[in-house]
Parts: sequence; structure tokens; C-alpha cells
Amino acid sequence: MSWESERAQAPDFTVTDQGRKHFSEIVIGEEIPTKPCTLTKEMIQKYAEVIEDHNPLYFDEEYARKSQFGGLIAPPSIHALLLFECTLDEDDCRATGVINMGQTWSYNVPAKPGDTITLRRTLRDKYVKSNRLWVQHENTFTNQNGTVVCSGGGWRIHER
Amino acid sequence: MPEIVAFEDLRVGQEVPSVAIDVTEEKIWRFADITKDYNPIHINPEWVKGYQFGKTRLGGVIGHGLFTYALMTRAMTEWVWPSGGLLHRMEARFDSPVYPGDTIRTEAAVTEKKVSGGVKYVIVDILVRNQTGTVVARGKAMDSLP
Repeated sequence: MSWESERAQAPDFTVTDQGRKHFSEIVIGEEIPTKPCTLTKEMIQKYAEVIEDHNPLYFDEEYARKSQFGGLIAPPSIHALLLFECTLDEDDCRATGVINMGQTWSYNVPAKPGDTITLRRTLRDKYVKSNRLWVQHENTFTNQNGTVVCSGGGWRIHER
Repeated sequence: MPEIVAFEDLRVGQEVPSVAIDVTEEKIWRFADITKDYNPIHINPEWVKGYQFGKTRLGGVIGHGLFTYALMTRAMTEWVWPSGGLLHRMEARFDSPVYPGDTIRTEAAVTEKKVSGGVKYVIVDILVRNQTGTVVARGKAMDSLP
């Protein structure tokens, strides 16, 4: 199947948008339901291929074992994938037409193949600025040992 | 072989090796598919044609901000990891849309060195420009070196 055909069959966020909370309904400080996910070596390596980051720390077990990380790891920006793996269909991150204006993330330990990742996600702030609806979330990804992998989030503008 | 970076030898203003990526509609789709971020502004050319964001008409699909962000983090990890260093933090702001056909490239330089709690930190400012020189993203990274 061509990539265009694959794309044509992608989930339609404009349909799943129905029933999503509007800006006026979301509450600052609200904890958002999430679900755990298991990060596999295949997910990490496919993600690394897609972002064209061919660092051997993601692919070469022997090289990675001798590194400061002691084994294969995921690229820091793997939280782009983890966010959608760990959130529910109704989560605000799937709202259509949302524009990502910026991101800030702190990295503690790398995510590794086989990690079970949990997400604590809250709405940090929302406000109207320059006639636009701004939303900020705070996300903390934790591994199965209770160690924080990374934390942070973005500034996003929603449709009015 | 990647260059080994020593904290003591670094100077403020020193450039960090650049990394770049050619953006295509297929690559934007691949990023959407691996992350499951199927926002139509990234994957639906027909929908986005009629989409106006404030006064801005995008005109076509655009790349994910986190695709650009991933390039910025790659610039840092390719620079410090081979020396045993770490990436601690990245702040990024997305200034302009990235379109299929763009080539985006990092420009980064050391802005500060400091030792805190025995850890040797390096602060780096990063710009990402497209092929016309337009800044599409800017940010700041905090790395450490052994």
C-alpha cells in the first residue's frame, strides 16, 4: 500500500472531535485521565528512523551497552509518541486545528525498550491572548521503577 | 567518528555542528503515523486548504512542531552523547510553519558555561532556519559534560 493510501485511512480527528470539551469547559489544574503503555524496541527504532536520527544508541546493542546509558535507549523526543500512546481518545491533544507554538521539556533518565510508561497530565493554564485561546499542559512520564523519564509540555492555540 | 567535546576547551560563542532534514509530505505523514498525531493540519491536504487560523491561511499541510523539535534535540545529543554528556532540558518556540519541500537546518552556539553542584553545564542557543533563511524555530538547551 502506498503512503498516500495509508494516510487516506488514518483516523479522522474531525469526527472524533465530536464531544470533546471546549476551551470554556476545561479547568486549570484538572488532572486528565491517562493509560500506561509499554515502549518496545520496535517503536523506538521506527520513531528514530522517522526523525532520521540514526544514533547507534537506538540500534546497536553492543555500542549502547558500552555507553553511559548501559543499553539501548530512545531519543529524548520520544515523548511525542508517548503522549498519544498514554492518552485517551477524548484527550485535548487530538483536537483538530490546534497549533503547537512551543515546547519545553526536562530530561531525567532515558526511556528504554521494555519500559512501562505512565503519564500524569494536568492542565497547567489557559488564557486568551491576542484574541487566541492558549492552553498549556504539564506532563510527567514515569517508568516502571517510579523514576521520572521526562516532564514538560507545550503551548498550544485552539480554534475559537 | 564524532568529535569529543571537553567542557574545559569550550568557549562561549563556539558553534555546535549543524544537522538538517529535508521535509516531505511523506515524512510528515510518517511522523503523524508513528506518533498517532493525526491532526488534519498535518495529514489532510483537502481539509487544510479551507482552514484559516486567525488571519493565517496555511494553504497546505505543515510539519509537526515536534518533528522540528526532534531535530533540535538531535543536534544536542549528537554533540554531547559521544563525549559522555547528557541533554537535560530543551525549550523551543515555533516561529513559522514548516512545509513539504523545506529543508530545515539547525544553527547552534554555546552561550554559557557554568558549574553547579559539581555538574558542568553548557547552555546552547539554537535556531532552525528553512532554505530561505526564515527562522522556523528557536530554543535553548541545557547540556552537561563529564
